[in-house]
Amino acid sequence: MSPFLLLALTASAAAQQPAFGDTSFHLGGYGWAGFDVPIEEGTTPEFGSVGFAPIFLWREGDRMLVQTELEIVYGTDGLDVALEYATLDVDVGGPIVSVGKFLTPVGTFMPRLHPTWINKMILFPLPYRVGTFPMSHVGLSVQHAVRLGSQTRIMGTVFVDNGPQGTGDTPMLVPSVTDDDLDKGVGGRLSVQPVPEVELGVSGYTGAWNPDDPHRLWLGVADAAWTRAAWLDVRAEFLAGSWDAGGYLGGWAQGAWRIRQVQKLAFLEPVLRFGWAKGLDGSVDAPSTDVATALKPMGGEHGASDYELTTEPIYEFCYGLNAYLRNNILVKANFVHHVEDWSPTIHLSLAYGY
Amino acid sequence: MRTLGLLVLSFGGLALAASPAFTAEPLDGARIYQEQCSRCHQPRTPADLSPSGWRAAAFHMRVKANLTRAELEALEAFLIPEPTRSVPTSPLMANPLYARECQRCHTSERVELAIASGRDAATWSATFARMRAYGAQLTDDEANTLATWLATQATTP
Repeated sequence: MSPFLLLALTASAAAQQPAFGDTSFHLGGYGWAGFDVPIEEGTTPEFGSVGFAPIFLWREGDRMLVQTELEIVYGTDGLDVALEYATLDVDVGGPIVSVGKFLTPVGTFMPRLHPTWINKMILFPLPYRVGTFPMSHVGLSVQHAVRLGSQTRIMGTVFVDNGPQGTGDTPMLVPSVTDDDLDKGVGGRLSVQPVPEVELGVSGYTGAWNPDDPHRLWLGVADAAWTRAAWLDVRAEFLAGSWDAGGYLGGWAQGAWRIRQVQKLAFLEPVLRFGWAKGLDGSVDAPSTDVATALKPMGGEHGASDYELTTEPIYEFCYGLNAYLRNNILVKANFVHHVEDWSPTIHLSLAYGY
Repeated sequence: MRTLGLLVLSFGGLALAASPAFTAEPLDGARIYQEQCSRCHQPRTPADLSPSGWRAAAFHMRVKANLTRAELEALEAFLIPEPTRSVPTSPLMANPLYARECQRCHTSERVELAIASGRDAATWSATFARMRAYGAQLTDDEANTLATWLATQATTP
């Protein structure tokens, strides 16, 4: 089935719906401000970047949503404004077809967990900061979910985009609006909730670039999460990428416990995260520019993708304590260090989801 | 394109599985809210957004969390408050704590069913610990007072 046929089906389904009876608008989003304290000698504590990400939602009737998120950051490069995603989402009788620029459905962190008031830590997990993973795509996606009985759910997403770009043997993973070949990028995610507290998923993406000297990229993620009624959150992802000139492996695991069981401590949430990444077959130097933009909220240079992956793995430990002023307003304090060179840093951040 | 074909075929199987036999069971919006929203973030209370805001945000969450249409409808029924969810003549409304907090999210029928099941004060206290996680604004003393009062309603003629 071609994307053009899917587009035609979408338009047909939308046209068959009764006239839209009502519309709803909501302006949501989130904001943040940070402070970084490098502990190494000769470094200076500094106020990090500040920004906000307004989300505009416009719902037409019961079948259509327009959603757009901007990311407006004042950071080391001055003022930066980015379009994080902008999609038209149409319910075509159960499945939802989305067209536009959307967050990559590969893995769970980018599409669902990266906003600063949701991310339990200030930094992205290490495998997402090493410059090898896309944050968004321009194209078309179809998603659907099915309930099997009262407990079990199965969810699926497939998408197509213009694919990786580039002229050499290393891909650029950017949400391109142009394409240098007819071979589109395709990907998807299949996940299951056997019980509501557990979600297991596998996802992947592949695409080719440089028609004069064709190369192909493969990305894959396996993810697992165990969450309990907004107080326990344990999750892990394993990531892998491969292309002709290189590849990488990475993973992260995180546990967070909001201390709901003790009334006086219920506003606190200790968090522990471990991340690792390593290059395969030599160094990996394929920065993904849209992730680089997304890294700016992390403050100063300390969240930036300044790693060159080699066959020597990088290990990172993050220890965090979140204090919730409300369920959508929190102060985050993180202590981060690496195993190889220690290089400890303390990050502080205020995050607000509205 | 072979990969895309395989993905679409897999997805088609999912769509076919969505027969009414699998989805006919009525869904509890409060349960969907508790189970699905907290997969990613701390819960917002129904009072946080306007009805129009929730309609837009709920569809947004349908896309983000991959909810079914039936789940969305149940979620909206829970999140978008009626002027009062409880029948005004319900005896429960005589308690100002109940009227202030419980009926913001729950119908009196739902609470009366829980009362009829014979919950004791300790069980109600455990319920309130969960409800506070979802935004109920109750102090320790208020939660204890309400738990004791609700437990006595099971024996009140």
